[in-house]
Amino acid sequence: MSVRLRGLTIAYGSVVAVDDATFELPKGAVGLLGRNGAGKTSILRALLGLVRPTRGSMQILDLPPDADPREIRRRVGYMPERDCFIPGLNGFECVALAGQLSGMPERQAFRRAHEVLWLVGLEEQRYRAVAGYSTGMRQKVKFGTALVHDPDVLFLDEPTNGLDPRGRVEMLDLVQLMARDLGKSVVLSSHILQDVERTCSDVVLMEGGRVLAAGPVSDLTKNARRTFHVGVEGCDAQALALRLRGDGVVAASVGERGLLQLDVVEGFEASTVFAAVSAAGGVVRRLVEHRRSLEDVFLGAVAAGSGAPAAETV
Amino acid sequence: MTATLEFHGVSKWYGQVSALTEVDLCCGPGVTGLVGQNGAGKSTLMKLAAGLLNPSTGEVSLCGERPTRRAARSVLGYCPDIDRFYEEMSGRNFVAWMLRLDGMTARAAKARAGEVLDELGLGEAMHRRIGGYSKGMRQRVKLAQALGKRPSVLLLDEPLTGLDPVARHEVTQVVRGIGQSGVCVLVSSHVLHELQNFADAGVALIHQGRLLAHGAVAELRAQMGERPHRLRLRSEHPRELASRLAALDVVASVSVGDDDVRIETRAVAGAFAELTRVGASARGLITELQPLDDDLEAVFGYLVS
Amino acid sequence: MAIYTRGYRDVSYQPTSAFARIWPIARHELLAMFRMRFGAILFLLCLAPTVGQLILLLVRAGLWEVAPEGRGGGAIPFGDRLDPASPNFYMWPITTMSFVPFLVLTTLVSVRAIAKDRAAGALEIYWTRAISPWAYFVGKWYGSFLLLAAAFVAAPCVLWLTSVLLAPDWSQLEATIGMVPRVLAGLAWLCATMALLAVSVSALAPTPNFAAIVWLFVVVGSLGFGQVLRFALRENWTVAINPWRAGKRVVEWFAGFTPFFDYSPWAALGLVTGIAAVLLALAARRLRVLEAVAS
Repeated sequence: MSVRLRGLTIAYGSVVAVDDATFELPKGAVGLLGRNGAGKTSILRALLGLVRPTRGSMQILDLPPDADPREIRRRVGYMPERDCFIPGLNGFECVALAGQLSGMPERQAFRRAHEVLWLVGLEEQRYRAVAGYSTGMRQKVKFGTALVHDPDVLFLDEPTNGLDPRGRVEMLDLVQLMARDLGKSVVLSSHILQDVERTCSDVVLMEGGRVLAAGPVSDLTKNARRTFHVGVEGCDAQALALRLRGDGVVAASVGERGLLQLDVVEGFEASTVFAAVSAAGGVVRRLVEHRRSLEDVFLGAVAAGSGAPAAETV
Repeated sequence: MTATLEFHGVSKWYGQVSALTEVDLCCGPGVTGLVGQNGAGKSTLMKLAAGLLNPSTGEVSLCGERPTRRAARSVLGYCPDIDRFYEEMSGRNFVAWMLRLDGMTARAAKARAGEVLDELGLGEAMHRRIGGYSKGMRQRVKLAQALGKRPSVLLLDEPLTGLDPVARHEVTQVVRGIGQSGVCVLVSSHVLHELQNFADAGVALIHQGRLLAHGAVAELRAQMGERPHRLRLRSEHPRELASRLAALDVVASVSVGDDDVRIETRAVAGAFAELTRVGASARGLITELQPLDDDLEAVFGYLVS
Repeated sequence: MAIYTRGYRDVSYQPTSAFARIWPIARHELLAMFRMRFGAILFLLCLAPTVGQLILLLVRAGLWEVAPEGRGGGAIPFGDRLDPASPNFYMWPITTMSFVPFLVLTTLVSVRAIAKDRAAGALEIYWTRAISPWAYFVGKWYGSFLLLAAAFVAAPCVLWLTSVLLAPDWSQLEATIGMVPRVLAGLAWLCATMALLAVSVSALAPTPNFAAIVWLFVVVGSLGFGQVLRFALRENWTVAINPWRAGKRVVEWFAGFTPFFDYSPWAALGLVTGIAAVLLALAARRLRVLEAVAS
């Protein structure tokens, strides 16, 4: 457990930004999802000790609930969404200064800044002014800044924003390195759901200040009705669909792109599909259980939560 | 007249710097995705198509016209990636004003602006000032000013950047609908999964100023037969499965996980035949078979590496 | 034999005290002047009045032969201002001659200190670190104080030490030891107060250029306004509306001088303290943590 919220409510005056949020974030990477204004930023602010919750409680790591916000921020690294750099510094100074502000002695901060910049792949450019950096390099410096004081929890706000495909892969690899290999807790807030699907084991879905869903991705994306998509080659899909009914397969049909759709119940055995295709003289190119994408889950939850259709059809 | 955007041997240099080299590309009706790293030449390509730049060599044609000519302007909708408006204008006034620049009368422009914003789901918000809009709404205003004159060719530069998932979904649906109505749409995006889902007319890949590939993702992948294919097999007995697969000569490498086995193969047809046989031989040996690299991301990775 | 990898290493350290975290901010602020193009040259130009006195000192000590009759004698036209044995020799180049250098240094550095961070969104970096807004403010103030003090305290101090070392006997030291340290202490107070005013203004402004314009307007405008008031009300203390003037009066009083415009130093001290307190209170409101993090 890295973060636990119980009935957390944050109100700015009469505006309720977060309403009775209760969830636990396990160790590893967790996605924090929601539309703009869903309350994600307020939760991050509260976790950083920048706002005091109106009601409810939160616990971060093993710190007591009334811990000094500065102590919290020493254990937590935050990568802001928008570009914000202390003016007039080069990449190295930027990261080193951030370390010192977090309470690292100068020598440690300098040593660590070099290491962190090597880790994010800015070794070559670290002595150049940040003002001249490309978007990808800026994101990397921000990541390094969040990591310099070796925090146990990392809050990353839209880390892949504006990155090109290679930059995105590099950033996601860093996130995975943190969460999987180094055992840090990472809270990833992103609009690109595939990024979350790729890196996070758990997600929290928010809308209008409330938590719509929280839990492991595999649970949320599980379908009530199991369906398999089968791609075959060298035999007739239509004939195969007829032959496969029974043996746990309740319905079989040929869907888009010639994929065979099998609705199955308990007792279904994939080996029967292989056997049937083999008998018909074909080969199986794909046999995958259909899972809802995080996007389906998200759009569905938002639609249910706000009582309006998620996507206007045009 | 069909909606087309064509590049014939187009190169563009800025001084000595080469931005595009010998690009031949024909896009028809439907959504074509444009993919490349930053600095690969995507924006230059867009600007050439929009008639904002002249090619150094070669020819660009929009429905048979040179983009820099006035006749071409009336068939072109351009939605740049910058996010700047006259913040004090309302959405409708902004779009109407842009349409008047294209030669509509004040009354027609106003009516058309209302219509197109309504279609894009801004029916209620269009009378408020743009400064108060969310990112998704601003993006749709940009789209509306490009769509207002009913273009045959629509250029969208990074239309999804900064949008939240719901807005992404909405904009994606809108763009797909436009493509299906017979407009030639060229969309650039960095998010390859998403692009693959709505680029029905295929993708164009550029890298370092060169067009590397153009076509449907599956066809492009099929053409790269010599590249190793990676497959993921879920299994109830991964160790047993791995040892059986390791004995096959079509399988180049095997790695075992907790509940799955990943293999690499160069002879993909032979591998599928063997896997079908192995899968049929025992219960629970292969419960899922998933090709890992038949998507745009893998194609892109192979081509630019 | 071993093969070393460059993988991720943990780091362990004893956290520094909240006080120690102020120093990196102050140092960064102090160096801001010299990071600027021509910054170092401008800083040297700001030392011009003191350097002039130094040249005079060398001439009088006979190290520079200007003219045979110029050595060691004659009446001094400017009274004690040019007499190294007088404390005014060390104060006058600052309080009277250094108004423009003061404007240059504060406008280029102090008054931009916080406004530039706000404009660049860098406050978000500071607030999400283990540092409080007060420590941040004190760091910024300390940095610009050090910059001002380098020009307006350290330089006269060097001048004084030079005069002591150049004198043939200890008479120069005996003549000045009573007063000059008080002058220097007064100047240090002046630098601290002016830095506080400028950094507070900086905390209020949205952009560095806006802050600079407001600051110039306040400091130069109050100079003229004070004079107008003095004629209108026939009261000398009104010139103390200008913080630099007020500060100057306090330093003069502290060092035991009778100034040209004589009025109660307490009025000057009260005015400048009042202005500082109001600005500080406004700055404190403006530096609340919440404001900085984007929604």
